[in-house]
Amino acid sequence: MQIEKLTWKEGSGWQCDQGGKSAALILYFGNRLDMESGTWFPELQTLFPDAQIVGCSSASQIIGDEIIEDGINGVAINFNKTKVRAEAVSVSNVDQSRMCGEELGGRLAAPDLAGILLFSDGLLVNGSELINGFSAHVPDSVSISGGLAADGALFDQTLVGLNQLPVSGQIVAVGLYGPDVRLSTGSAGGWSEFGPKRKISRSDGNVLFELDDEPALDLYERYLGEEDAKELPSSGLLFPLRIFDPEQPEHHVVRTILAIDREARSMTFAGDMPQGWVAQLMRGNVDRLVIGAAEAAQQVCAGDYNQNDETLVLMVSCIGRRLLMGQRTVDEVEAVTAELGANPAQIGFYSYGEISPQRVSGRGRLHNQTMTITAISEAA
Amino acid sequence: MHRLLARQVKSATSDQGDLEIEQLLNAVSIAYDESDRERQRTDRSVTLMIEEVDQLNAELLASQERRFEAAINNMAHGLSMFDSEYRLVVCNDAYIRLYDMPEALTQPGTSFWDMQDHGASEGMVSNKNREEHKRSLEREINAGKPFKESVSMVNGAVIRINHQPLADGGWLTTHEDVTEQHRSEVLVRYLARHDNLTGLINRSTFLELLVENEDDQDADKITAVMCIDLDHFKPVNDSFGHAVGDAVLQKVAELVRVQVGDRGEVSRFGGDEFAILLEPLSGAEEAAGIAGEILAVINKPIRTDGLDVNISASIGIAMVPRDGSDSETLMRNGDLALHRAKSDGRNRFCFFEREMDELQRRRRVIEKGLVSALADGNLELSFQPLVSLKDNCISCCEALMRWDSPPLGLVSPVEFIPVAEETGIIKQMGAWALRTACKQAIDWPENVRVAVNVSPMQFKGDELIGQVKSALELSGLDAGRLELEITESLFLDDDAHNLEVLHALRDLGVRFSLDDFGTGYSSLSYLRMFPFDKIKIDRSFISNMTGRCDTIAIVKAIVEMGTGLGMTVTSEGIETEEQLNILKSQGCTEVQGYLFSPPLPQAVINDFVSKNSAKDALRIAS
Repeated sequence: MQIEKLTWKEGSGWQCDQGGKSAALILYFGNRLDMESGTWFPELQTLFPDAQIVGCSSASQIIGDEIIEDGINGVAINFNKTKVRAEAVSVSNVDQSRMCGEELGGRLAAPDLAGILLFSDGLLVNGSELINGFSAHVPDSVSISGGLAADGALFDQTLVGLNQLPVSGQIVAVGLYGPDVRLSTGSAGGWSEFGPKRKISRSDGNVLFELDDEPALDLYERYLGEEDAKELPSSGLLFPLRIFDPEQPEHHVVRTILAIDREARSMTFAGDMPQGWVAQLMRGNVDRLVIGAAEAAQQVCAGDYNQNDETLVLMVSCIGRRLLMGQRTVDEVEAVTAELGANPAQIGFYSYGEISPQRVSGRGRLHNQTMTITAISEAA
Repeated sequence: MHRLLARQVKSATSDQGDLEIEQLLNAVSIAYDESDRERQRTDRSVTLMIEEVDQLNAELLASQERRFEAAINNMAHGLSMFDSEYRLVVCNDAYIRLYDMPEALTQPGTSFWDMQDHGASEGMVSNKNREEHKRSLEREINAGKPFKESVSMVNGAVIRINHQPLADGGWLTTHEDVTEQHRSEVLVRYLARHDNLTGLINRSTFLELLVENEDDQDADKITAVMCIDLDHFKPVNDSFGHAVGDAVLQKVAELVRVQVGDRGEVSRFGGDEFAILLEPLSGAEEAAGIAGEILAVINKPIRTDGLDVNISASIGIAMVPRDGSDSETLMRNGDLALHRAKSDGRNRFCFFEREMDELQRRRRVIEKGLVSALADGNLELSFQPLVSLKDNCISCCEALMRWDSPPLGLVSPVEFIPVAEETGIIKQMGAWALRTACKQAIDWPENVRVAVNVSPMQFKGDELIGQVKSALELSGLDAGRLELEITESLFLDDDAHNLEVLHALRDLGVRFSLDDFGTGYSSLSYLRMFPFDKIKIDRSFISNMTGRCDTIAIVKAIVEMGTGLGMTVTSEGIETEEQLNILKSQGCTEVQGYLFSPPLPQAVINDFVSKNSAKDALRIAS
């Protein structure tokens, strides 16, 4: 397959590094404020009239081995044999998440469906439920990768688009069909749990109220300190929660904060926070997060991965990692590149949640606080 | 160059290659800020984490301590733990209750000895040998080995303490209130050694005492063993019931115990038997005195359940060391003495004499010999004629058993008959005597009867009637020619049954004579109980008659009474003409004695009878 990099800047318009060849699929990521309006989309559509144009807002973008804050960046992909079909649904509240997944899964389902790229609103969706919805129509063997759109550290609104200007409350799924597409994924964190285990004593869906009968928000404000507490919910990303069912302590998930309610003393997370489960604070440091990113890349290398320029590497990393690593965030991108090689085209974004198959079962899963990588190529 | 700085330099360099210093410095400053904030964040989170963990540990410890306290205070046993410095670590509620510990003495750190002294000072634990106990306890604790001890509280409680040393030099004790168990054990031991009814020591305990006494003996120490048996106790049970019988035994036991006091140890052997070990004594006189006292108190009416029960006892005394030193010998000799007291008339005491032992040995030989005699046919009958003073001829012959024992020689019936009655072999001997006598008499003239003595023992059971029938049938003797001689002793026991047998035999046609008349307590009343054909005046009257008007008057009265009742009156033991003349003058119609003939053996009697059975065959002086 052929991959062309695209860059849009205010005043410069779109720059295509191969002159704007035809494409079946455009993937783009950008700063939400830059995306909300303007001529960039019609221009992109004009450049690639036959392509499925899919993209979302992000915290920061990854292009190559760089991290870019402004503008909009993307890739134009022309598959040799793989067919592409994209669908979109609207969502207005989190309770519709599973239903949206069922709808999208139902539309994309086909015998030759090999993989799905999923980009979802980052603030109105329960990522876990969205992915679970797909299982109604899509078998576990179909890889689901992607992420939840972001809004930097603002947590105001996120935008997702399919063949139109991206909007809030949108979920887009791209189906890849045919036997020739090759997908290899990896996901790793590098965060470490610390301190006592606490019981989720009160919660409702993905809203956490109390840990050990104390408001969870009190705990976070104590750990963040006065200054960082003012920057909640974004500063809360520095201390994700590792949660697990006390009956199955070996199966745990990491949860990222999406929003807080100072009056209700509650915190909204990117996935379910089941009452009665056990939660433990996590913290990271730059070096361990970089090692985590490298591990994710090593997982990709261990799969069906072609280290050539006809491979697209889609990196979806967590905004929490971006906030913690600061100027050193690019270290993790460089660590991924070091593992995957300089040849494949790399693109990605910092999200409010990462999606990729679970390592053991292959079922799509929402990850938080991870570097999640999906390598897409076609068989020779 | 550090990678980050390299990137910052690259970012701050324009496309023309110009380094924007301010931009670079700004990026560097931001990097430092980020580093500082990360470090502060890490520091704060670690500090908070440590604080939380410490608090959790404290809560966990407190929770564990609460659970531990709940657990130990829920124990039924007392528990206390001390460290190697003898200071209290912990004790539970049960421990505090057991020893009534004040709160001040239950705080961790309290000295072990202060707590021990509390027990002693409060009088809960016996102060006896306190110091010695403390020293011993300290030695045990310092030895570092597990041990147990029991503490008796002055309130009667018994606490079993289990001491377990700990690895750090301290120790743990559990305290179990075993008062009830202890009481049960004491009770079981008591019951095993004492008689349940009277509270006296029992047979086995008494015999142990005798063995201990044996070990204690020396040449100057005199002790005595008394064997006591109540006289005629069975009728008390039979007449008044076992409840009254038991009450009588309890009262007797108490009377004897009080009377003996600290002069000896009283025991109940079972039934109506008691035994006493008296020690020390000045001699046989003192033993006799005590025996007399005992008999006296027992002789007094015993009031129970609204009844006055009159009872007596017989006592056999064996002196130590004179009559033996070991328990077996003493008990045997005491028993022999008791036997003598019984046979001498009861309600008396009797000292053991050497001959009793010999008598007892002889008795055992007689007992064995009789069995063989019966089996081997060594018994014989002799027949002593009875003479009719009216017809001057033999009217009857009394069959008398004779036994020539190979080891003993001729044994008198006076000796072997009582033994036969005691062993019960008298029944077989009596049956043999009936058969033999009837068979002998069949050859006599029809006017001559045969008289056979029947022991009261032969009336027990129902065999006698069959034996008499069988003897008559086998011999062919007419029932009217058979006279059965019985004594008053037949009416002492079970007279209803005995009367039934008498009547049944009478219905066969057999005749009856009441032997030894005048010697018993109620001779006259027995004449009313059964229509005897004959009464035989005891020889003691006859031998006592000469020169004794009173005796003659009694004999006369008996003869008149008997004659008036239609009975034949026979006088036994006639040895002189003078006796004969007196009897004849008093109207006696039949006589028996050496004056006419001694008992004659079977081989000779027939001839004697045939020569002297015809009327006036005998010339009797008038």
